[in-house]
Amino acid sequence: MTETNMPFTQPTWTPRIIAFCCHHCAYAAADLAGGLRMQYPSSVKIFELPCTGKLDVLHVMHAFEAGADGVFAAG
Amino acid sequence: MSGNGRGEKDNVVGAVMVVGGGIAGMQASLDLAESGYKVYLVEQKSAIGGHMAQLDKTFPTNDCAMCTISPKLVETGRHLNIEILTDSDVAALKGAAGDFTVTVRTRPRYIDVKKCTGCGECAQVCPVVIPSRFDEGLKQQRAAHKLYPQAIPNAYAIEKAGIAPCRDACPAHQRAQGYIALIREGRFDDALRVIKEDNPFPGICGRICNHRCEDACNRGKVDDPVNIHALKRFVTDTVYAQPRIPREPIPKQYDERVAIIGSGPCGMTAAQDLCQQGYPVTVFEALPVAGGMLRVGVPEYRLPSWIVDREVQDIVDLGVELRLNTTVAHLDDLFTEGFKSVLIAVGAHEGVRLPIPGNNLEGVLINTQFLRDVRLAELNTQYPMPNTPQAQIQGKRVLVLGGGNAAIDVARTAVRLGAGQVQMACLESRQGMTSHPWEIQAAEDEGIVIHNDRSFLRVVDDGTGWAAGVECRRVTHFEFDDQRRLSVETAPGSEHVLSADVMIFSVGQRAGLAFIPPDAGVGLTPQRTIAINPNTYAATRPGVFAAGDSVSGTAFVIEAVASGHKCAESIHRYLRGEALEPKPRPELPVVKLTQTELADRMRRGELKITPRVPMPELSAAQRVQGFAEVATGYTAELAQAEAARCLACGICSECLSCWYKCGVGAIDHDMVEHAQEINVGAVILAPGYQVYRAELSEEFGWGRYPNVVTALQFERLLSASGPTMGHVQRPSDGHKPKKIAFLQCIGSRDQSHDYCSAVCCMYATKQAIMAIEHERDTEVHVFMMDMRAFSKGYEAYYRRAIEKYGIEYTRCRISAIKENPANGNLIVRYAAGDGVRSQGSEGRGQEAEGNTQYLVPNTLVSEEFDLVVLSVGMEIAPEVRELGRRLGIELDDYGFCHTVQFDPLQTSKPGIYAVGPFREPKDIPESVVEASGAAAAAGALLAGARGTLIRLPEYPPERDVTAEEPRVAVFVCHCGSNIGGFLDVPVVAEYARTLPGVVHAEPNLYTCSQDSIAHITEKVKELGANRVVVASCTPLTHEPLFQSSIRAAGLNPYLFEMANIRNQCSWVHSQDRAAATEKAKELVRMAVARAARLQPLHMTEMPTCKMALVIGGGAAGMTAALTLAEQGFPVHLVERSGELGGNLRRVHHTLRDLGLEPGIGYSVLDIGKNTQYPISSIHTYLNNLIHRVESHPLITVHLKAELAATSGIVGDFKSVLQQDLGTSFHRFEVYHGVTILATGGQEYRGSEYGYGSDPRVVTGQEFEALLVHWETGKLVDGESHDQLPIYQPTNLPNAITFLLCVGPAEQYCARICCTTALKNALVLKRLTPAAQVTVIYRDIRTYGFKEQLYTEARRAGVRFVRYDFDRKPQVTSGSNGLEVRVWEPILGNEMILRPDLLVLSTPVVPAEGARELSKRLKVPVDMEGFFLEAHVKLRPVDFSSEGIFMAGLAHYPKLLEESIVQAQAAAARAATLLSKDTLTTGGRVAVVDNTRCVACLTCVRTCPYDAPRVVSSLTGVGGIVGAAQIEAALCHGCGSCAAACPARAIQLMHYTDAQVLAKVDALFGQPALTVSC
Repeated sequence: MTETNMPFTQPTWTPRIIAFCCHHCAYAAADLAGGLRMQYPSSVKIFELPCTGKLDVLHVMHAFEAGADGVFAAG
Repeated sequence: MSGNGRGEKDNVVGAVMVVGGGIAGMQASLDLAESGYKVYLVEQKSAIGGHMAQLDKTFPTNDCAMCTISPKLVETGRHLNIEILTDSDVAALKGAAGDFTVTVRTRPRYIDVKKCTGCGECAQVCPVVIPSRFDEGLKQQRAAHKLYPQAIPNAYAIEKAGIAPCRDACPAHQRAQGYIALIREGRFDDALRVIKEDNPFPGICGRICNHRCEDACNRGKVDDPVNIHALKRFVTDTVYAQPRIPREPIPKQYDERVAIIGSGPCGMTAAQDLCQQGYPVTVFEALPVAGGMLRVGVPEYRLPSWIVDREVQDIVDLGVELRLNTTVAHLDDLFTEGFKSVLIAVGAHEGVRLPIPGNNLEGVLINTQFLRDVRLAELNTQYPMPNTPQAQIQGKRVLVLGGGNAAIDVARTAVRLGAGQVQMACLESRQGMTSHPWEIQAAEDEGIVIHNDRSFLRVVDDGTGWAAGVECRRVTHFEFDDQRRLSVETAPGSEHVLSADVMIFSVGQRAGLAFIPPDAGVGLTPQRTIAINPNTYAATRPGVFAAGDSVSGTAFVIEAVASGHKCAESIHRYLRGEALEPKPRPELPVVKLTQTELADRMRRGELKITPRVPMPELSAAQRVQGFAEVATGYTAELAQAEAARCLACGICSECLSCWYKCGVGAIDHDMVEHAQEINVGAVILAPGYQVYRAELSEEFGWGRYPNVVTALQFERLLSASGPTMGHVQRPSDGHKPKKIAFLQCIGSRDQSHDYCSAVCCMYATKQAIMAIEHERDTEVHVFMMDMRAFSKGYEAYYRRAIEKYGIEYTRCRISAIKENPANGNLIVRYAAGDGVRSQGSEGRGQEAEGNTQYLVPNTLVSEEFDLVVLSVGMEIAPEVRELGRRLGIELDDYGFCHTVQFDPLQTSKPGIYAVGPFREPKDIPESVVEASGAAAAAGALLAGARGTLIRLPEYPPERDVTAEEPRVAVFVCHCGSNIGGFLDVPVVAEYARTLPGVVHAEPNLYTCSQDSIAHITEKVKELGANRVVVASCTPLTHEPLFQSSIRAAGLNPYLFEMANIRNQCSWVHSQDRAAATEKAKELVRMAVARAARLQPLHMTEMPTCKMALVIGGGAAGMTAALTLAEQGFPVHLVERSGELGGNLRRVHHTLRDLGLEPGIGYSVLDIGKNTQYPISSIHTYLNNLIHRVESHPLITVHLKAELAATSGIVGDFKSVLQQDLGTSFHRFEVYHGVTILATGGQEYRGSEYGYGSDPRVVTGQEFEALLVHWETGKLVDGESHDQLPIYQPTNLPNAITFLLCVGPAEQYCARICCTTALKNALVLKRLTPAAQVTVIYRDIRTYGFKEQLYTEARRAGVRFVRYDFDRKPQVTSGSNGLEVRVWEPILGNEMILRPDLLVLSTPVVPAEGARELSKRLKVPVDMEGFFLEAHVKLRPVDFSSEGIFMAGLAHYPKLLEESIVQAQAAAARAATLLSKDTLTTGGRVAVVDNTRCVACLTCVRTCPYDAPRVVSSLTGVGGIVGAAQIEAALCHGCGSCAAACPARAIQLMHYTDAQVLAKVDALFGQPALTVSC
């Protein structure tokens, strides 16, 4: 990742977002969103965790390092 | 308990039937299945879940209802020993407790649950729209539907009400409703396909059918029938306007050739059907054109010949040989030629000449010949004729003799050929004419004159051999005799001549049967038609069949089609050597909508008066110009408007769209209802409730005013998955309501419901809060009688609603509402100000002395609201009452189930238990408690057969893959078109093949179908794969299925990973195929990366100590102990005091002692007569209970004992008990697998209102003891009532005041005080009817049937005065006596009472030592010190720590029956653990690497389940002593410890850092800059 240009200043830029979701609630909610055919950008990827308690700072930082533009924790 | 203990009865059946799949039914099923019983869960609907699944949130925690119920749904659905029978009812029951045979009737759902994958494609193509019942009519759904998105079973169902009357009326059973629905949807090609299912001649029938369907149409009862034939014609016009695509020929399957004589509608229909079955078919036609009468009998202006030609050609295309211009000379010739069967369908082409003089004169024509000549004139090269009909007619006066439809065809044709004048004459009167009225009208419009009532004497000769007219007589009467011989009476002297140049006979037609000589072996009838068996159409000669006009005489084309189908069936049977008569099949009823049903639909706004869209026609002037079609046909717009008028009577129309679409062959429209007998040992009834039907309270306008909704509808409006996606909108205009009113007690606490529905106050409060949470500026106003927030946490919730959300509560029962027609708002009139009580709430007590009706001094206010919510109460549905009757159990007047006193779940029939609102209105946690309680009762009854009928999964040994490189197999699912329709599945599969470690990738149509599951197992074995990825739907529902398929291949189930490319990809990116495909690839890449790093995980088995420790020897503790002992589990029962019995020793009357029969009211109580009544029942019960506990061989009672210490984990606890021996303490150890806390509670005694300083101020418990003393003269142990010596049984007090909500009850509602106070008030009234009894209260919270106590108290003359905490009563005591000053809010004045005795209702508080015990057991307590359950709704008797349960007052104040049930429930929950020989632990749990542990205790503090602890036997980082260890049996696998551990010493198995990070890296396509761990 190069950080020289702030990408979010460009109108066509789509941020890559990883959403860490609790298996029991947020992940199920994301399933329901599908059932209801709600639409959201395909650059959002859902990552199932057994509980948001499992969400480790390390994993969040690692995601940023690997290329995430945003991390969403839901649970 | 009525159940038999273990061993008393060994021939019991180890299975239980649970009736009702709501939350209670599911809980009972799970508890039983987990304790070793086979469960049959019978559900009336197509899915389980009940009302709870419809709710948005639950009070008082505001948890999402679906989030909490969904895991239970899945667990129930996948449990190996729960068999769910949906669409089913209990039809009959025989046998006795322990061994019942239950007949269960299952209605067809038309979709095979075992095959259905839940993909939903059937619903997408289903054209039939019905109101969604799950969404309470606020949304529409399809006839093929899933009850709700998360439904279990995850399968669709088709709703059919029966056969639509249009279909029933049609001889060919044309499924008109189906193609009408498709037209409405704009799917015209599909509509034509549906028509052609039953009828190969839609273009023809759309024009000339007599459409009996329309006569039967239910819509005709509302306004006009649907214009079905016009719609049919529209479809053909539209589709036929496109170029015809020739149909593919059908391959021949059979050798037997079939000959069909006649190419009319009957012959061609049969030809089509036989050809489609695979027979070689030849059609013989004497004329140069095919189509029979359709082609040569019906005039062009009604039926253009190109339509006939086209529809015939569609049949010929299939491979039918058509021989035109071919006359069959003799029937035998056909058999000689090799035909095996012959269908005679020659029609009736021979016209009839009346046998009157002159009938052969020149100028006398015959109808059939005339019409045929007209149609064939255009083909005159092939069909030469001397005089064209036009030449014969032009400019002439034409007289048509006859009045049928054919006569009108002849007359109107004559008009078009340019006749100078056209007249008709017939025998019948105008009303008696056999032609259709609309035909007669059309004829007259075209200038045709009709002479009725004429008998024809002779054709008049003009002298040159030409006809000049007909001599007639006037008919006065005519009739046909049995032999169809005509007799006519005419008026004498009425002879006259109708002059004409050309006369055309049109008085009948018949078949030409010259090719059937007498020796052909085919019998004829006296009417010269072929004799046949009417059921099979078989003629007297084997192999010969006959149908159509040649058999029936002239009929309509649709009848010819119908008989053609039947002939084809018979011929097929004949040729296959089967019996000709088919077996009758059960048929669905015909749906005849009644006026009431139609009125209901109108009221619900589902139906509005809409006149029929007329068929556009040419004017009479235009049409007589030529043979152009008169009816010009609908436009698409008109057709869709007309189609929308269809009422969809049958619901499913059997259009078969679903059948064609379903990729797994799950649709079966031929399913029929079936019954089965099931052997079970016990039955648990959990049928639930229905909400009060608000339409019955017309004063509130539900149904009439769109913005009046029921509470259940409002739940759906609040729900994110509801009809408005969670945006609260009012139904009339979709606007956000700014002001909402809730009207309480609709269908509760009224003249016809003398009970409180117990949940409405709280759900209304919840809904009000949620409405404000949705839109902050919403104003909410609740109109109620009393606020009944009587359970744990409810009072605090209510106060939060007022204080935090500003919800306004007014005590006022609204009598009616009106709509403001200008804006759809609703006008509510009420008396403003607090404490207002209207007539409605007190009206029932008017006759009683002392029950003052306070007039309302406050001003009446009219206020407009945008939306009104009716808080509808609970009722028992008629079908549930019917069930009760069938089972022979006692129900009360309202249909609620009667149960046995002190055995509250036992119905009047042993072995049948009732739970949930079926017993009494109640909320979710109480229903769940009862469900568990019933499971315990059934478990005790059937203990002898535990484990005899259950099934365990069987798998091959596991293959060790640890040394192998990852070999990943990937399966990518199309899910029909759910995934495949929105992204490129083959491309994703192709991409998966390129990923590292992948050895195989393939697309599947449905990966979860039965054959695919078996295929995965086989493929894994074949490939030697050691990791599997399925890219399909969601792991929430499907992971266990796929895991079992790889386990069957010998792989550890944890070597599996799913990529959710449906719910989280194809469905949410359905607008962008490329992006969805790209994301699916990424999700698969992530899954493969993680899969490659997955490790097998194993479970360990730990033996269970099958013994229980119960702490507390009151009613709850004893009941729990007995329930467990009866199931065969030894129990240690520990009691602090020296005797068993607890608080029950202080209760002397039950409500039933007072004559209160739940649900019936006071049947025997008679206040005026001062009769003695028993206080014995409760004492007898207590003594019996103690006796049973003390004498049970499996129960060890430890009196004067306490728990000193406890250690260990679920299944393996060790506790130290300390017993007070008087002079010393005895300490000893007990081992147990579970612990039940039933430590009870005690009455609060403080110094409020002079208690303790004035002996005339007593508590409720003290007062109850006084009552016993007054009543029996006996003193009750332990009570200091001797301090009131002046009140002896002979000298009772005159004035008694009860004051409710004293002390801590100002903070929480102690639930039972109102009921207890009213009970004691009534006991007192019985002893001394003249006593002035006043109850000073805040709200009377007599929930459920306790309401009847309130009713009775008012009837008995008890006075009620309301107060608020901000103006509490003042009590002063002096030598003159007590003085109570209370502000009366209605009078707006202070009242002064001078009671002899003041009874303070102080609440139950937790027992002494409960807090101490909670610390010792590490279990939580709430603010008040009551034990805190794991989940207030769904785990109401469990602690979050495994293996520890609670019951009785230690949980919260409750009535005796509630304590008993809760104790049974705790026993059931405990039994799910004790019944297992081992407890399985491990798998996805956290594991400590002690070499990295610094024993910092972070994990110990983080874990919500107390799983980690630091043990000194382990060595930590750097060799320090002590490291953390996580008890696998307690670990829930949440991973919080792993995330919190600062030393990264903890890994959560299956979610290790390596696995998580590999997946993250795979997403972004690159490893992170730093490598951690």
